[in-house]
Amino acid sequence: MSNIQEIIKSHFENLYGVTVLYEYSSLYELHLLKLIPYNSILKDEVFKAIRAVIRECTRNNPDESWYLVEDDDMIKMTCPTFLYWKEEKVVSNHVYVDASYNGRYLPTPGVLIATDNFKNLMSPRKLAKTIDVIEKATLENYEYAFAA
Amino acid sequence: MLEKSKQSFNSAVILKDKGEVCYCMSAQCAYYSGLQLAMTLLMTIKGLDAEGLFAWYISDKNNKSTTQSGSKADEGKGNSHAFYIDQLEKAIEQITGSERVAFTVSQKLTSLKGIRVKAAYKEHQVDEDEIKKVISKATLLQESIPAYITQYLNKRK
Repeated sequence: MSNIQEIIKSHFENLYGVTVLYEYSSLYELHLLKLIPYNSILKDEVFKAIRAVIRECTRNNPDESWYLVEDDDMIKMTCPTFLYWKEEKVVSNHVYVDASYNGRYLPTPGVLIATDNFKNLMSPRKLAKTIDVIEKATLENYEYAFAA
Repeated sequence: MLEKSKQSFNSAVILKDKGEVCYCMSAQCAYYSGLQLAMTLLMTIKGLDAEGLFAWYISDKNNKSTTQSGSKADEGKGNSHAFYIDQLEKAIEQITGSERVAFTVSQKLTSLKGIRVKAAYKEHQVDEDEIKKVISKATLLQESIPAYITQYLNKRK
């Protein structure tokens, strides 16, 4: 897992304004990636980064398959295990959320969590209120955010 | 193999039209129609029959295994489908000169592979919305991959 995170990080660290989500789906037996917004794939640098991630991961594990989930896809990403996100205006605050899904998302304390893009992914039942940015997130205020 | 792919695709459509009790089997036929097209393209380029294609996969797997661990992989084990899809992408990129086209085609087949796993091995059902998308993707593969085969054959002349 940490290896996949590192691979995604290394290929996306120079790209801003794109969120990358990752999940291994046992339902489809596929490694799933999702781009938010999806149409950022139209940018050459984003396309090349996604391809580089998939190539590197496939080279490490040739028997495994990778799929980039589209908007309104028949393949559904249900519980992403982490996301990688970099806000265009917040260069110094590198966002890297290591979320384990066990009924709720647990942010790493001390990171900046975003969130207009993030809320689009979350179930409206979990996230009923707009959160712009939670600085120095802790488990407590994150739970509050979801409960709001 | 091309004829077999058409049969698989036709079966997928017929099963879809039979209703939801046949959606899972329809999805499996749709995936195999795409995989058989991939195999057809690779067999055409490599000048191999189906047996030769599988021998290529085993040989590649053993080479990688020897390089990585110094020992040979067990013959027959592993994921030949992932290998064919990976090679399909490389072949289409070579034929069309477009990374995007190659990626798009291989991703369509990968998504069908995922649905096929769900349809064959999991307790979940395939619903109407999914099967429509499955048939749509399989249709696009039926339209595009034979065209790449033709393009390859024309280039070779």
